[in-house]
Amino acid sequence: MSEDIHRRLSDLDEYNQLKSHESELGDQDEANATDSTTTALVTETSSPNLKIKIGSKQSPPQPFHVVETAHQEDNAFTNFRIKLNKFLNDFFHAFDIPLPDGKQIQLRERDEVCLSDSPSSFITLY
Amino acid sequence: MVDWRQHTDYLRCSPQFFGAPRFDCVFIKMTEEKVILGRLLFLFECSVGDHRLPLALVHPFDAPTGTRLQKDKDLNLFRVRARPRGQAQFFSINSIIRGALLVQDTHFDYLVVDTIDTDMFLRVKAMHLDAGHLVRI
Repeated sequence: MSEDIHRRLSDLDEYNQLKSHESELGDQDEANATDSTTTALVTETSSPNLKIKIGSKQSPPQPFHVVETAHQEDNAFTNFRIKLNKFLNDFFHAFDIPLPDGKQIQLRERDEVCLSDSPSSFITLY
Repeated sequence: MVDWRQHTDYLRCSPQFFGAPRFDCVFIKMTEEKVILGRLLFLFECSVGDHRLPLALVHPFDAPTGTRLQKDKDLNLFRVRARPRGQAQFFSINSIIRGALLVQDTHFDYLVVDTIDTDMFLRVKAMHLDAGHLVRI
């Protein structure tokens, strides 16, 4: 019985995912019709996603090199910008999300990031 | 997994949480079948064009643990091992399933506490079964 319920829920999840993906693509098509920018900007605002919210006190945006310098003794942050750049390109390809202007994402050192690395940062799962 | 309802889980990721660092551990869904554990290192939201992606830098705890220790078998413990910190990965926070309580055993090894709640108990049991462990329950 539980397996049957699980299967039905999985089907529903898959359907919802497909619907949201379709509407996302629709939004993207509309956005492509206007002028879109490729600048990557990390902000601390809440995600519109209903399942998970990311929260934090606001802090001013910081360029990548400031973030990397602040964590220069932490191996996890080595090549932060380069690794994020690769992740974003892979992510967009994996989910068939059209890249802005059809170009590979190219983060620059001076691109600003606004990080949730403040004392109150947390994720809320619903 | 217990009652098929959604629950709220507050996960902290902060170098200064009431005066001390706090970086919570989480379950991360890699694929439909594969779930790993890891520690949150950094949370942020990234905007590219019109897309806003909430992301996390995570230290994955999915390094091979080798032959299972006899005491782990006897006590039904689930052991995970941290990869080198330099292999931290980015994940969409939508891949995060829930928080997890881990206890450090050795420098790189952690034991998963499965008695925190029933959901955790069932998830760790499923991981035992996936890993081919004999579950004595």
